Amino acid sequence: MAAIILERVTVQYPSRARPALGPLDLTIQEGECLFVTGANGSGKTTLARLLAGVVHPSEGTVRLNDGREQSQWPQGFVGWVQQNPQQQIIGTTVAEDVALSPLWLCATAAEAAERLQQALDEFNLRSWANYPPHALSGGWQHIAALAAVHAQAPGLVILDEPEAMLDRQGLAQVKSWIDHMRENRRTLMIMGHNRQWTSLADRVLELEGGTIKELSSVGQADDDSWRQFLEPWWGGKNIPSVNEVIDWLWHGLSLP
Amino acid sequence: MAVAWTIAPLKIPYKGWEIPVFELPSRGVWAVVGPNGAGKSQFFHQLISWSLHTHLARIGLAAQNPLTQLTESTVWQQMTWPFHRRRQRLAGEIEERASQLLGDWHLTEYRDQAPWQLSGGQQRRLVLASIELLAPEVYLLDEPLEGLDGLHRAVLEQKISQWANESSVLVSSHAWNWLLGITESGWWCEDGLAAGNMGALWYHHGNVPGNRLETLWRRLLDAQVPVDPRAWIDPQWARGEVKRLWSGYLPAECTP
Repeated sequence: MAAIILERVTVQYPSRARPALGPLDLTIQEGECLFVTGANGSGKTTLARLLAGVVHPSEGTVRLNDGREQSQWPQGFVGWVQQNPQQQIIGTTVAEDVALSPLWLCATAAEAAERLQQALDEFNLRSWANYPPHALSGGWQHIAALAAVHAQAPGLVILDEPEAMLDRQGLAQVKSWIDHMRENRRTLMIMGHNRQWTSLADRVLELEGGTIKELSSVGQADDDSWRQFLEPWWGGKNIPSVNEVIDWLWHGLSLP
Repeated sequence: MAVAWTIAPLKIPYKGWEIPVFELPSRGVWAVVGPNGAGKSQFFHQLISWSLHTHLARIGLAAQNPLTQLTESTVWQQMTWPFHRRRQRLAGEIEERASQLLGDWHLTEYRDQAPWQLSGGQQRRLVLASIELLAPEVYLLDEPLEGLDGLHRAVLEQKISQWANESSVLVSSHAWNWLLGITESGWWCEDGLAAGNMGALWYHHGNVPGNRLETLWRRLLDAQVPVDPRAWIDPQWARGEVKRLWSGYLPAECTP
């Protein structure tokens, strides 16, 4: 695994007046978590398509910092959970769909079977394993797509709107999986509009019209609503714990 | 709640539950909330099925996956196809209204582009604009926020409040903070539909905390502190609630 380098990359779709992406220079470090945001049509999904090899740069290069061009990347190096999971589910059952990547990538069938079981357990999918994917709700289809990428064990994981259609239980599961991926030094690219993902990211990339509007590091995780709620009273100093707030409220004490 | 249509019974096939009598309100915004796989989308599909069989209400559905609704070769044709069904020439006022709606959703520049070439958020906006052109009596919005950036979330909120004056708008989403801001009432969907005030539904069912202010709020309610359960979605509203209590007293039944 190595850093991913995009140099003067442009993606131009046929019959479009302007490039969907670029020119773009970007280095994604190994083990980094990058949150990519921007308005609708700003080029987020095109960036994902480019890294996944679905589209090729019209100009510029995409390579690893060890010199390997994109065509030389290891098989299954990029795992992509798309905005719409139906676009990537091809198995006739959930288990079959999750098992396809390991069967394609693993040396032995036993190894592939082990990865399948692991993925089903990781995402609580055992009870759905024999269902046809189209019979699942949108949220469960999303989870099934995540499980398939997990079983693929990619070096770069791209998650396009990972909170889409998920209830809070599902979202908590995805966040814990992301933490696990980070501990294992997988490179992550999370795309979307929900700023909650900045708390998990190392850097935030904002795209506008296919180019970089802003690329910034993320400091201490912020919770704006919490701060806005408390700061007018405590002036940002010694912010009290939840227990203290309830206690003060309960005893009717005047504000410090 | 003014009831426009009474449906008895409404059966949800996959999940195997049924609603003996469902009363569809004539106008207003109503949330449909529940865990993944509870049958929310099936509930919407059953309402469509009822409408097709009875011709009693004109229903417009924005499905979870917008691609399933985009069938035409250009954005303009997608907007106007229902009006071409009898090979009629498009009436001037329809043409004008369609152009206006494309403008409202910032899609004018994509008028001659193929819908499948649009980004996920643009596709969702196109579906919403197409439905609006048909002026349905009931809007069914299944996860309408997915893929929308901040600007277009604001457009959607404004549109929902406009639509609700004349129509019934049923919104299914997992975003409690958003739903609590746009509606006061809804249904919890899990083995059936239970109607309720949104604050109460959130308190009883939204049991995986989202942010710290929400956690604090839940604990205030656990202690039976009489705050509005919806106030945590807006720090100013929350602060107003706490100030109100601070300057008054806590009823004796509150337990810290």
